[in-house]
Amino acid sequence: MSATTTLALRYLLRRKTRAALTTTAIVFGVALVVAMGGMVPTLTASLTSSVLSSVEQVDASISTTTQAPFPADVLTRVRAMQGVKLASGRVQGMVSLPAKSAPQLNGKPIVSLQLVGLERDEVDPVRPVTVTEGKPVKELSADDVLVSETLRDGAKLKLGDALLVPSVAGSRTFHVAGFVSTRPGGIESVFVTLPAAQETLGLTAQLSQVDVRFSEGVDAPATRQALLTALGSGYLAEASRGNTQLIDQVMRAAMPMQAFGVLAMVMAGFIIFITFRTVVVERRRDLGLLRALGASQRTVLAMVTVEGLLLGVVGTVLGILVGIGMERLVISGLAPVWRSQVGLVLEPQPTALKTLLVAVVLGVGGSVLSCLAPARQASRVSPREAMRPSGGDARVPVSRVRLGVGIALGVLGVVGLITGVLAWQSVGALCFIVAVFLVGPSSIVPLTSVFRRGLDVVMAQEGKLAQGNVARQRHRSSITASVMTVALAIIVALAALTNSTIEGVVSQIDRTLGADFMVMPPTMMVGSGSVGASADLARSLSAVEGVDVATSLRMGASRSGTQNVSLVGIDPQAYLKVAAMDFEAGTPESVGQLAQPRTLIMNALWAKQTGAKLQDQVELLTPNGPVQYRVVGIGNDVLNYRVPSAYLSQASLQQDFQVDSDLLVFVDLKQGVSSQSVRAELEQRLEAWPGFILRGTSEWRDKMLDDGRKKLNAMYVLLVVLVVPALIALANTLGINVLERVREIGLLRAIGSTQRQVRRLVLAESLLLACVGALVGIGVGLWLGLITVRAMESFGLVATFRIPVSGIATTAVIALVFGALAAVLPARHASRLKIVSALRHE
Amino acid sequence: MSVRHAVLGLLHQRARHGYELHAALTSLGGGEVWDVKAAQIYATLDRLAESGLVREQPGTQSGGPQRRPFELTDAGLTELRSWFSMPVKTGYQRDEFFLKLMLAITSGVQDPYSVLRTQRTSLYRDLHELMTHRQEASARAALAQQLQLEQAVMHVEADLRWLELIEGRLDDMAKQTTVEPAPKPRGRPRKNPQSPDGE
Amino acid sequence: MALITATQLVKTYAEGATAVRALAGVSLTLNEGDFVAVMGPSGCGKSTLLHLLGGLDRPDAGTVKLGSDELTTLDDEGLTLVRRRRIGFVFQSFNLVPVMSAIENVALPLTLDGVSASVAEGKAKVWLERLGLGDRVNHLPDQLSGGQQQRVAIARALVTEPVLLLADEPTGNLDSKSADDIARLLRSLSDEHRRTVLMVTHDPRIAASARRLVFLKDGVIVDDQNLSASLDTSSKVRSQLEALS
Repeated sequence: MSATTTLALRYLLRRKTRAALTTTAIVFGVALVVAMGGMVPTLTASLTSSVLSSVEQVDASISTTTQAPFPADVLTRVRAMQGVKLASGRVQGMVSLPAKSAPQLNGKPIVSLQLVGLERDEVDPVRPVTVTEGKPVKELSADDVLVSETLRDGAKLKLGDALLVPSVAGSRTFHVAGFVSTRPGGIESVFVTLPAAQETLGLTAQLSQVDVRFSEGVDAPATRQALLTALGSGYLAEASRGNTQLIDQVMRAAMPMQAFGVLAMVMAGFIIFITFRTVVVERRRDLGLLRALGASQRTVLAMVTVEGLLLGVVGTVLGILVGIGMERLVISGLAPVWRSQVGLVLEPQPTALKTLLVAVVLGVGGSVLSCLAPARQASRVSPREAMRPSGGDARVPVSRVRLGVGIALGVLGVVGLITGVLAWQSVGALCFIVAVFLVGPSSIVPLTSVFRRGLDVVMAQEGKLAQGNVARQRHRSSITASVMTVALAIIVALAALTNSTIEGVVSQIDRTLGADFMVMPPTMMVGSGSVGASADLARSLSAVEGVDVATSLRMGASRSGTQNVSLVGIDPQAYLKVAAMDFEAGTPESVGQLAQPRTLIMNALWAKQTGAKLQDQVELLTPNGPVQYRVVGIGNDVLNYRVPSAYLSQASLQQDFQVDSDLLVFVDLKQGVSSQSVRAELEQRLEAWPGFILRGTSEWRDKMLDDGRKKLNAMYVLLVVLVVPALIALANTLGINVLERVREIGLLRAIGSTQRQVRRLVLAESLLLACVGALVGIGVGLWLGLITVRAMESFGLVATFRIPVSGIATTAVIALVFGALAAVLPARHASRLKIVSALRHE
Repeated sequence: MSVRHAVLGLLHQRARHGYELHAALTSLGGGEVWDVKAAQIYATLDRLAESGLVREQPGTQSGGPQRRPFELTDAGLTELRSWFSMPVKTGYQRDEFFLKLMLAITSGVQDPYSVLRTQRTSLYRDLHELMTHRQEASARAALAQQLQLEQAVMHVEADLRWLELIEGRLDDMAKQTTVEPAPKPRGRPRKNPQSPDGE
Repeated sequence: MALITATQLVKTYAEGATAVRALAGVSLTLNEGDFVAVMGPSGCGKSTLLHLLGGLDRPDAGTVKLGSDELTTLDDEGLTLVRRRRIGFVFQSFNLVPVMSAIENVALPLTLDGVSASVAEGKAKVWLERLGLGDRVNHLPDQLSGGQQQRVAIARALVTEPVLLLADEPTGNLDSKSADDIARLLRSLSDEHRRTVLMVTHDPRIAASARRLVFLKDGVIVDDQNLSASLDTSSKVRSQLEALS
């Protein structure tokens, strides 16, 4: 082991607590990266494996690109094609079981199941279903249902038990006729006859999938290609890729999750940087000595870098282990919820090599990178330091150029903010942030004066001394304060973002939802194909006394170009009576125009992504091929602003996409009618439709608000954890300051300062820095929040900028608390210094 | 001896009468009682004149030894200079060296710093010898001798410290003029004390 | 043969707003085997002179010639090598790397030069034993007394067989007994091992161990004397010496 490595290791071991703290920061960052990186593949695998596990034996599995059902005559055509030996069709769809009658699995009701309809006589030779007990498929009657062994065991089902399933006509009761073995990991499915399924799901004369077996000796890929060519571009001849909408959602959530992980790594990098700067200050004499004895600059650089490398390696290895553990923990907590809500099993996947590689690069690479600047500083320590140390940062004056540039940028930034134009505001934010760092050392003292008044109230003497200390080490103080600034700015920005989003949603609900009641399935995921209701439901509800209008929404899925889009079918005449839209292009009259064939109203998100304008033609992929639709409006409402979607007339939706079941009904009451009186009647009518529940709109609005607040609070907890690195940085700086001022502290104690006064001195400095950091952090955070919200608005998402008062208050509290916490250990150390040895210290 | 050279030094400054020499010598002592009698001075003057180092100033009225001012000869200057360039080696170091130093300052014959340096170098050489012998002697010398050696070392150290002090104060000392006995005012007091050419 | 020649060295430091002229034109020549003590009041520039002779810093003007190398023409790498191989340093305090044992500290200049640890530590052990520390080779600096630390530092300064040993107040932090021992040690190194030693000190006793004394004042040399050449010791001293033998 070379001298460099020996020295690096020994120095690390000398300061075990600090090494441990720094390593913890790395472990945290790497663990987050690994855990987040592992979650996404696990979730996606769960969503895709379901179908994959069962289609291996088949030569081709035909479904539509959009996952929507297609006309049954496709089966006939496929059977007639050359090279096809056998084909069998099935229909499948998710059903939401009403909670009170659903079977329980491990104490939780199974809310989602996949209902699969099989061709009784055709399915076995093509894609057999293995029945282990009870009736084979061939013998199923219309009311029979086959259930998986897992469900049987988990819910303690017996042959003959009833299973209540919502249907378009209301509900239908099946009886358990047998049990099948299913590969674990698949979506929880129950099997019935094809006609029974088609009736239940409202998919008469439609199929979801056709499985095909080719004749012997036939060229499989060529045959598959021929099939596709014959059917058209709306079809795929492979296993479905799982619930694409859900997968999209998971992917969308993946980005912020991974960003969080990366953010944690960046903070860890900051900690390493600060820690190693401490090292350089502390070890000036040692470094000078080494240089005097003949260690080259490169050797010193290597020594410090190796320290960083060692910490990085240890931290990364531990971080990976912790991360995998974290992921397993989260998955095991999430699995039951996943099972009951989505009907899928969540299994931990072995961590992808890619994730591990990323973790190693970020963890080790990041650690080394972060300590490079301090390492370079270390190598520059003059050998003269060995003889007479100069005492830390000499009074390095801040260059005028730097100050001038900083001020100029700051002014530019503020000007940008005032223009109100998003682009300038964003550029301005960047300018301002750079300005803060440039101007930091010069402005730190005046900024602390702002808080001195307040501090003087509590501790008069200490304030002056503390401010003096800050003034003596302006560079170091401003770096520390800026760590606080960064952390707190993140909190405030995200708080502003969340608050604004919630506010945006709530205000949009208020603006666009005019109905008194909403009738919907309990778990309504956009486009996931919950079982709808036939028109009878809406009719039944509108017949209730006091009801003015009951109009329905239908949902479909399609593809435009490469984009998955969801479609909402409305009644052009009745819709505006119960709801409004926020129009970006077009007017409420545009809704009426939907009555014309092949017209649609896009939502802002889709329009922004494609740059579409009024009267443009867009292509929608139907099972019968692509179809052109004309854009008659661009608008949003609260139900579908998050994904690219469009409104069509229910007529169009039926004609092109074969969707004719209602998924949501808006009920508006006549003027002056109270909702309580009508509610009971409505609910009574709904009993025939167990797949649907009644919600008052204002109830729902309040629930959204509440959910949003809960999310915000959950996020705060996570963010506080992110701010822990800032705490460590603050503590580190205070630690160095104490180290450098041992003699001075000894003197203070000798002339009569009590231990308590010394502690308060350290505390005062900490609070000053924390407050300055908070002040700037809140300002920058609000700014960042503003531009993020406005950016979201420009993408068509709904949000109105709202200053997060609670967020700011929380930040202020965090700043004070952390300021106090960070000072605890250094203050104790300072107050406990032995006076005599302190006075003798160099 | 020191009185001889003191007289030479004072005469270098300017020609003086015997009684002036006595007064000046006493004040050179800086307040210390030198116990140099006036008679000793006159005797010294005679001996110096015999050696050719001083002579009576020509052209003055002679009316007895007390009234003749003496001056330095060239030989006397040479002797004075050679005295200055030698360190003081005896135990009367303090007194003689101090005398030499004060004279150097007031008479201007020699740079007082060089006087200091010469003395210092000599002391260091002594110390060097002592240290060398101490290191050799410690193995076999008896305790008493070791202690004596240590005492010698310490004396030299003390003198060196004193020299250091002097060097630091030299500037102050140079500013302080030698205390001459104030000449008694004779004759009538001047009419215009503020006269521009006044003294 | 002149070992090290400094010519007209000038060095000024900026101390905040004021500029301090540490050396105002100092020239000095050392020959092999010289044992020089440099003295002077504080602020006279003696430490600066040591910095420049040892390649710890560069002069503003003037040259330093060590053997055939002109130090002012060397870049940082070059100076580092000179310090490593040809000069040995002993400082007033804080001489040793606190995380390394005595033997590792002594071996350090060699290991920095790429010598294998076993060979380097072998040489280190020899020197430590010569200086009477054979039983403390594995002690850490904070387990050694001040005098022992200085001896370890001296061993380290000698392990590369340097041409020049530079010591800055080597006895400054020691009690008188330890100081004496160190002075004696340096003297014996000079006498028996023909090392060239230059030390900065303010202690007359230690200075007197040297054979040549250089006095600095206000950045210039004011005196440069040989101590052992003279034969006119004071009579009192002579008589005492006679009494001893």
